[in-house]
Amino acid sequence: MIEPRRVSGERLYRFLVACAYPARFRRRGGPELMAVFRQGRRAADARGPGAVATFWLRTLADLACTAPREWADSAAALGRGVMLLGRDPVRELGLAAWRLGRAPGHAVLAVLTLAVGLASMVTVYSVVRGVLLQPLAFEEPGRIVRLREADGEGRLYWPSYPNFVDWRERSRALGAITALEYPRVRPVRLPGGAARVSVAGAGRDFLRTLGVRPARGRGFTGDENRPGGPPVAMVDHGFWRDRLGAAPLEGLTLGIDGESFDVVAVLPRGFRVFDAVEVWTPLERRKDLGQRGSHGYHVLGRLAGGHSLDDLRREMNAIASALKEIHGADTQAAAVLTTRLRDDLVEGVERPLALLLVAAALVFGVACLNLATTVLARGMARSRELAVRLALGARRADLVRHLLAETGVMALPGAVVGSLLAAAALAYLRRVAVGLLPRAQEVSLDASALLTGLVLSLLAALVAGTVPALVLARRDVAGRLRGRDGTDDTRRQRRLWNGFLAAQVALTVVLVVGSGLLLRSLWTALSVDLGYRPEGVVAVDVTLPEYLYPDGPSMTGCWGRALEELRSRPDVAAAGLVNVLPTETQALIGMAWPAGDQDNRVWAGWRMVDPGFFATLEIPVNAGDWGLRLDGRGGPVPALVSEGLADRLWPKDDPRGESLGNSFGWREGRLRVAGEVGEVREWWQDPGWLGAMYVDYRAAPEATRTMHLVVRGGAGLDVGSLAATVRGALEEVDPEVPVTVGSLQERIGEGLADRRLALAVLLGFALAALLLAAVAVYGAVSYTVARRTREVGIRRALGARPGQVRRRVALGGLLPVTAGLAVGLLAALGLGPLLSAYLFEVAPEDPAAFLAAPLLLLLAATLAAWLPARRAARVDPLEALRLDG
Amino acid sequence: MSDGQAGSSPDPHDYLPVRPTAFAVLLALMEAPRAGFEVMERANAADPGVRILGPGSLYRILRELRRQELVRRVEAPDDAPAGADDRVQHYGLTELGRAVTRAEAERLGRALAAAGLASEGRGDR
Repeated sequence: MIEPRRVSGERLYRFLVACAYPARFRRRGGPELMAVFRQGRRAADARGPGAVATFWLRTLADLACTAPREWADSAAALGRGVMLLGRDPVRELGLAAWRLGRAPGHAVLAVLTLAVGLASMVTVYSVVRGVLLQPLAFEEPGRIVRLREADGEGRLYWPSYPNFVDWRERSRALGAITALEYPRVRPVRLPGGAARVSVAGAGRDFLRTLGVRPARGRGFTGDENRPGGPPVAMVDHGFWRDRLGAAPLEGLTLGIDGESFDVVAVLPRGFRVFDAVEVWTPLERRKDLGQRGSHGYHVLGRLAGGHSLDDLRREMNAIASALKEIHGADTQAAAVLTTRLRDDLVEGVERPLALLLVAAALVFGVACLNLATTVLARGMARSRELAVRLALGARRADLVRHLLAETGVMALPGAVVGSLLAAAALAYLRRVAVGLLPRAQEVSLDASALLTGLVLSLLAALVAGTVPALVLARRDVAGRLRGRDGTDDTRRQRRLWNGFLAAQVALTVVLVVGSGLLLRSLWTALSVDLGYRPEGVVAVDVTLPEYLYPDGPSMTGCWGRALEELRSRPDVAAAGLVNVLPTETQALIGMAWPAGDQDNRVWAGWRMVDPGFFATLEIPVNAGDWGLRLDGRGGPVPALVSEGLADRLWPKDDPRGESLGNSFGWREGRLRVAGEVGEVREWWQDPGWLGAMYVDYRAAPEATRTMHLVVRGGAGLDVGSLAATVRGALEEVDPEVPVTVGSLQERIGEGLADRRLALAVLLGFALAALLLAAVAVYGAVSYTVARRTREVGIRRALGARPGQVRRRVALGGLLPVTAGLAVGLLAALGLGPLLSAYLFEVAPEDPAAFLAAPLLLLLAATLAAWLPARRAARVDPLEALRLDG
Repeated sequence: MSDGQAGSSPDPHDYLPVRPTAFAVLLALMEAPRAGFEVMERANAADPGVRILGPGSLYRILRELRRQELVRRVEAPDDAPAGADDRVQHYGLTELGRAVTRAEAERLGRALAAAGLASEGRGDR
């Protein structure tokens, strides 16, 4: 061979060619390219410096034009080869299934892994889509806004009725505006008997503002929605179906507060604005809707055509300033906060959903990595077979196709199982998440979510399968055929493998740490001392109807009879009465102060009780006789204060005998402290952050319309039969009064439900990821053991003890795990703030969680590594050496 | 064997029209087999509308023509300068390539004639 004479620039061109073109093109055309380059360069030299410059410009342009096209061609060629699935795709897939079926363990795991990952992804995606992305079920929902009053310091208030009326009169940017009320549970007479029903008032233009047409009947007219208008009602679709028996509207009436309301409309199925409301009545037919300073209404508006949200904001703030000029201190509204209704509804769930999305993405990532590891492991185990195929003339595309067919065979069932799992999870979520998640009833697994999921999983499988397939299909036939371990090729594979493993471990650590934090948080919350014993107690909600009990004495009389009746039952150990259950410490709070010392005002709850209340809930009482002497009207009224309140009001002295100032309408000096009682708290409160004062309910008979009875059963009586006893007893007292009976413990549980749900989901994700990571470690180490049989054999033959071999093999498998742990812990630290909203008395960088999670994972990994390592130590040296001989 | 002429020989007209760049390459090879660089120079010189920028473009065109069996690699001709780079590839037309080149030339001629341009062109000069 004659070595051609070098020309200047040749090395540069060679370098450029090496960088720019795909390997295949370089192999086939490289020498020729160089030859043409040399000839061209010489010709240019002969023509002079100008020609050389032109020559280089042209050559560079040539490179820039052709290299991308070469890459595209080569990718397309590979893709075509893979896509064709040979000449017989069915046979190819069948073969892949048969190959997988021979060693199904890993394949089954990979399928399940993918199913779990896909299901979590599709479920969370569906929820996010339903809650955050889908428009509200109203007409042009983007034009519906919520308006709130804001004072000078940015505090927000629900608007007052007089302000709302002024807004309605002055605003031009709003096409419609309406007010609605927070629903209250009231006794309502239905055709079948009395029931407790949530009732709310809806102002003029309610349906027009929302852009909703009733499923049946018509909305309220202007005549109905003005002071003294006729009593009419609209009902919720579910209420109409279940409680009214889907009766025709003609002649259908509801008895509320002694008036008979004609039902004029059934709202569309699933209609809901803020809280669940069963019956709507015309708000503005009532005469007294509050002062300018009393905040009691939701106000919604619809932007008029041609006006933007910014227009509205400017206009509303101008109106607010004008009103503030006129009314001064009578109104708090220095400005109006205007938000889109959708943003307002999903406020507060965007973060939890983001958290879930991250968790689901982590699981999905782990699942994909697991699939990739499985494919890689199978490929590496068969690397010699693949090399033989290459040597016999198989094309690279054939091998890639071959491995992708296996991935496909695993991905398809994974996708199907995953979709089913997602559908089940969503059905469950719809049942439990109503009330926890806005718009939960709108969440569904529809075609697009499912399709997205399927595409995602197939894409994931493709990616997961392609990387190992490309690595395995490299042409190092000779090295592979020799079966050497130390070639670059296998080292590259092992690096890839270890990378997959470490990444899997890292993602898992993040999940396990997150779940650990939530678990500790829930544990702390559940072990809080509530200050009372809710076990075995039944709570009853009662509102006495005005038409039966028009005044205070009639109400206290009824409560007295009810307590007497309950206590007469043999099943009942204790019974009491209270206006606010201890599960709602924030309800009915106001200011309290030592009489004459208004500067020391503190927040306190206002509780009206019957003495039996403390006995029933086993709240300690330290007081002498504090019963109300009914003949002592006008004299001092005995009150009990909780320990926390006593400490804050009279830090040094015994509070007994002190006079209590308050904002609950009792003249200064009227309330006299008779003793202390134990503090009651909710699980999320700091002990003693809020105290309460207790007064005999008979001291304020007018304020006892809505009360709660608490009843403790005799020893060993379950809550269910106690509830039945209680219902029976109250039936005796007055069958006309509807009641809601339930376990007090369940009431407490409701407060924890959203955290429980978040925890359950995260815990599920974390367990799945933990399992997957353990499986991956097991697979990695067993693979290493299989590959190193010969080495182990030699070591053993040279005198290594089984223990040494075990350690060596196990440690080798754990190395990537430790690397993954480190990365994962760092990532978890970074993601901690996302969780902080869910944590109760646990810091986002809680050391226990950060220690426990990696330990747990390490334990799982060690176990997973130990099993194959033990197998390695048992290797018979002779057998091992003969294997490769 | 003569380039698969026997039996079902492909019809040159199936290959028409030929892309201008490819046609310039075919024309460059009409007289005799040539080395890649010469092909590029001749094609660029013969037709000002054609620009084969460099080795990459040339290789792509020749590969395409070889796939269509219009061009094949040939031994270096005896008159190749001694001491020349022996990695220089020489290309020649196959019988099919020759037929396709002729057919394309005829097609272009007929197209010119149909437009009445063939004679006018001469008249203008």
